[in-house]
Parts: sequence; C-alpha cells; structure tokens
Amino acid sequence: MNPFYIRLAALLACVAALACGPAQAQATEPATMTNTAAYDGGEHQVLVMLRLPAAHYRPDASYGGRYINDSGRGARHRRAEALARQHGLTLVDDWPMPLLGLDCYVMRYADSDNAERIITLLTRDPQVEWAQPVARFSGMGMAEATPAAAAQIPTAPPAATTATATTATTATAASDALYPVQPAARYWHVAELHRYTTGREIKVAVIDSGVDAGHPDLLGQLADNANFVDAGPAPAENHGTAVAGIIGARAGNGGIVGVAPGARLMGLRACWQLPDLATRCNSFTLAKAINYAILNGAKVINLSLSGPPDRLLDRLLDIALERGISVVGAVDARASGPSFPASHRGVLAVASQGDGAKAGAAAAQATAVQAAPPSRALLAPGNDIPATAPGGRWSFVSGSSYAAAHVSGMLALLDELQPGATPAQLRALLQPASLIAGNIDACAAISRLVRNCSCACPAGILTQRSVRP
Amino acid sequence: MRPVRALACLLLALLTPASARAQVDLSGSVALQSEYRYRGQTPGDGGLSPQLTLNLDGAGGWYLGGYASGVKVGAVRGYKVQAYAGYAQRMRSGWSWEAGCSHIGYTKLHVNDFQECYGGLSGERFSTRLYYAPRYLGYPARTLYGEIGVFYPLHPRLNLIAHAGLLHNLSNGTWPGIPANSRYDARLGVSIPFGDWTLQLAREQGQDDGKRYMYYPVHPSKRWSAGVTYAF
Repeated sequence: MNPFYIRLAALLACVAALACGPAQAQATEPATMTNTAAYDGGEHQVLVMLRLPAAHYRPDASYGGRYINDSGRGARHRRAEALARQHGLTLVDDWPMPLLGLDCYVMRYADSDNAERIITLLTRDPQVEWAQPVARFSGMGMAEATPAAAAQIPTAPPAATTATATTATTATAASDALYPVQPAARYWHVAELHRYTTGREIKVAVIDSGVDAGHPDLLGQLADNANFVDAGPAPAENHGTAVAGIIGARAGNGGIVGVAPGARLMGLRACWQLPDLATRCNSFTLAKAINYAILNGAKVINLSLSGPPDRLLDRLLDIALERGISVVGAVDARASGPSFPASHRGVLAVASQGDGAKAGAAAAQATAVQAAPPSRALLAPGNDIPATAPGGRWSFVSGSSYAAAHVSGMLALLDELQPGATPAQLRALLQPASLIAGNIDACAAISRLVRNCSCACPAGILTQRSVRP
Repeated sequence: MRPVRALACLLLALLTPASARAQVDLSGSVALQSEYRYRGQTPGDGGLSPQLTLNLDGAGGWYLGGYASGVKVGAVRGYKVQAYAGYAQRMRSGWSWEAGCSHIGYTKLHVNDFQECYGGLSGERFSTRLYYAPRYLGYPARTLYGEIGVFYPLHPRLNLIAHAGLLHNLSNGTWPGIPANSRYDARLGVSIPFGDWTLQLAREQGQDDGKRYMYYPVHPSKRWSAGVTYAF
C-alpha cells in the first residue's frame, strides 16, 4: 500500500478520535473553564467586559477563518487574568460576545468586599468597557405544578408527521386527551389555525431551564438542546419542559397540542431548577444563550423570566430586535420595580390572562414601567395550563411564563405566513388598535394573513373581548 | 530590509512602558504545515513547513504583525518573511471592516519580494478580502486577489473550514507563478480545536494553467494538506 495513504488513514483515524471525544460543552462557543460557580446565583461575582479587537487579516495558513477562537484568545485571557490580579479578583469564567465586540469575564471578589466598590474600580480601568453585577432572574411560573389527570395517559404511537399537518392536525388533536382543556384550544382554537399554519421550520429559542427532549410530545421537536449553565448535558426540568411543550408540543401523542407544533425549538438551558422547584437564571448564563440564539437563526426568543434591568442583556436584546428577531418577555405582576426583560423597548411583554385584577395590574405595571415602551402588555392564557412535564408526564401550570409561551407560539404561526415581518409588524397583527388592553384574537390575527380563512372562533372572540371594561 | 524594520517596530512596541501598552494585545501562533502553499501554488517540491506569527492589536483598531514560514524555492530551503499593518473597525452589525498593507520577502530569492494592500470585511463566520499588488512576486505584473473564507461549527469539537480565492492578472504578459489571466484556488476541510491547539485537515484544489517555470514543478491539482497550530 502506498505509504502516503497509510499516513493519511492514520491521520483520519486521529481526526475521528479527536472529533468523537466527549464534547466539553453543548454550545458552539467553548468555555475555557469547566465551571459550576458561574451558576451559583452570581454570589460575590461581577461581569467584566473587555473590548474584543476587530477581526482582521492574519497571514498564517493555519488560520481557520474564525478570528474569535483561532487567534488572540490566549492573549485576551492573559490580559483578563492580569486585570483580575490587579484588583484582587479571581477569574471564574469567560465567553466571547462577538456580536457586541466584547469578551465577557466572570470574576469573583472576596467575601469581605462589595460589588459596588469593585465595579467602581474596574470601570475606571481604560481596558474595561464596563463592569456590572451578576443579576439574578427568576422563572415566572408558580413553583408548584399540579399533576394533570391525564398524566396516566398511555403514550400513543408517534405521529407520522407534525410539521405539515393541516387537516391532520385537527384530526390528531382529538387524540390528545388534554387538548379540550387547553386554553389555547378553548380560546384560540389552535387546531383550526393549524390548517393554515403550524409555525413550520420557524426556530423558537426557549431560553429557560432544561427541556425534556425525550418527552413523547417533544420528541423530534428540538433543533438544539444546549446547556449554558454547566458542562453536562441539559437535564429535564419543570419550567423549561412546560414552556417548550406549550410552544411546540406535537399533536397526536395523547397529551397536549403546542400552539406551533411545526416550529423547531431551540432548547437553550440558561436557568436551573432549585430544590424548591423555583427556576433561577443569571445575567451571564442568559447572555450566553441569547448570544447563541441570535447567531444560530432564532426567529423568536422566549424569555419566561424576570429580574432587574441588566446592561449586558439590554445590548444583546437590542441586537436581536435589530435583526428582526421577536423577543417575548413574561411580566412579573408582583414586582415593585421594572420587570426586565419585559420592560425592554421592543420586547413583547406578556401577562397572564384570566384573573382580571391581576392582569390589569400587570398591564398597568408593564405600562408604568415603560418610561420606555412597551406601553401595553399582551394578555394570554396563563392559568391552569396543561403542559408537558419531565419524565413523560403532564401537569397543570400557572404563571405569566406560560402566557409568554403562548405568544411565542403565536408569533411562530404568524412568522410562517409572513416570513419577512418585523417584530413590530407581528405585534400589530396580534394586537390591532381596535382591540384593547393587550388581548389577542388569534383567529383574527391569522385571518389577516390568509385569504378565504374559514377560521371561525366565536368562543375565542367572545372570551377575548369579554375582557373589555 | 523592510521586514527587519517592521520587526523592529514590533519590538519597539513591546519595549514601551507597560502603562502605554495597557490596551495592546500580543498574540501569536506556531504551526507545522504538511507543505507550504500560497494561493494555490507550491514552489519547489514541498515538504513540511514550520510557521510563526506574531500580532499586536491596539485598542484603537490599529494592528501590526510579522509572519515567517519555511519555504522551499527550487532546491533551496529558505524563509518567507512578511510584515503587515492595518486598521480594523467593528461595525454595529457585528461585522468588521479593515484596510492594510504588507511586505512579503523571501530570504533566498529577493527578486520575488513584493508589497500589496488589501481591504475587506469579516464576520463571526466568514471573511472576504481584496488584495492589490502593483508588482506581484517582484515582476511588473499588477494583480488582484479576491478571497472568501468560511467557518461553520458542525459540532462543538469539529468545525468546517472553506476557502476560495481568485488571482487575476491585470497586466499583459506571463511570469513565473502568475497566471496569464486568472487562477483560482479552493480549500475545504475540517479544523478540530483542542484547547490552544488546532488540528486541520483539508482538501486543496488549484488550477493548473499549463505553464511551467523553474521553482514551480508539476504538482497534482488536487491534494490533501494537514497542519497543527498552537496559539498563544
């Protein structure tokens, strides 16, 4: 045998062995350090943004075309380490944010120190673009979920197809035992809407806790299942699994029908489940996931969470919106201050519909928060929603998290019919000026885009309009 | 010697006080390539090629660097030495534009030394540049070289890399290593990051214009290449 081919075979074997080794992270951006401290809620940590040099010419033949990872990364890391040492900090983690022209570093300060002092010092350093606290965010679902009666429903055989289901979707909805009790069925008649659109191939980023990709209603629905919290695979967690199912559960599996069963879900784990079942995230994990969603073709980003205003997330959301990505945020009706990211200009703020007083308060809060718009929060079903739960189960969930998930699903439906529409145009379709107080008329929204639409949703229209004063 | 002057500038920058260098990043790489190949052509009969790159980035967008590569020209082993400098600026879209010039010299064949200037755009996963040389490879030939590079992550541990270039001769006449009109080169491969190390394997394709010159022996137009790089 030609020695060249023997050498080539050996090289290929080496390449295969390296490529098939265990992946360090699920995301394409490799973390330089395996880190669990980054998701401990950001205790005694600050985020430090250093400017990333602009990509430019390098003559070496080995340069793979990707400036961010191929060159200069080590140099930038050394600079960050020196900066950390200079201020008595420890470098914990880092992530390049080329969309912002920044490298984001997590640095830990001593227990005896305080974040404000460190941030003031760092901000004075000419190398630092800005420094900020690691803010905490919470999922906007109630921590306790009630198991659905249908949880014992045996799993039906997998449906042959979901994405192109038109009349088939209506038919298979009948085999989903929980469909009749889904508010999306009662008020929005989604199975009827699926005759015209299922959100086919629209990428919806579910930036949340881990999604149970093996759930019968979610099998094959996830385009990604990446973990931005730690180095392992994304675990199945309650909040993320419920949100993903409400948006994109496929029909015909004995459980629920997602608002957009044809959508491709991007399960991006940026939050984690606490022992009391509450859902927690932080600025750093969310930023990594939003950065990934923007770079990987998301058309809708669902953020069923809330927390304090955050500069890093602000900048990333601006870029997402500039690129025509719709961003949906859940309103925290109990918050005394701004409910971020729902309060961010251009984000579709969604409150839970059903409880008039609570919804009104949420809408008022969302309005009050808006020194920057949105001036009106959308209202969507968010109480006693049958949803997918880890372990192939279903449960009833409540909270504005799930209202936001309904709106993300609706946006995917509209996106399929109107691919070039901007987030503002989609919002106008969902909430025309003729309707008040953020109510969504799903049938009317689809009818505006489909000729000869026979979508008759009298119950939905009545219910939606019944919220009028 | 211009490359020596450029390297002196590099050293001068390194020797400036630390406070002045606060926003200057020094980076570099060492690599071993299966052969030296430049715009689709391999002078000499190939062989392993060691490479070194040093780069300085200033906070304002200015950059300069030096590059050296082992090269076999005919039967003589020597070095290609390149000094480059330019300005790059990131745009709001996340893309960057840049403009710069470089001097390329050959330690064993100074007759081939030449200068060229370039401009281009880069994004997270692509780069494209146009180069103009008034005397390509030291001959009275004005050339344009356009290139596109693409990077695509197939897996966290496996990236697709692709490159295509077209060298166009704006002058009438033929000289060694320069096409009478145009010549393309293409490269498709994978890169595997391994910490600070990167392994690359690629299939290269060039265009044989049928002209034979000293220093440019006949090589197959399609061939494999491999390389390993350590970035610091």
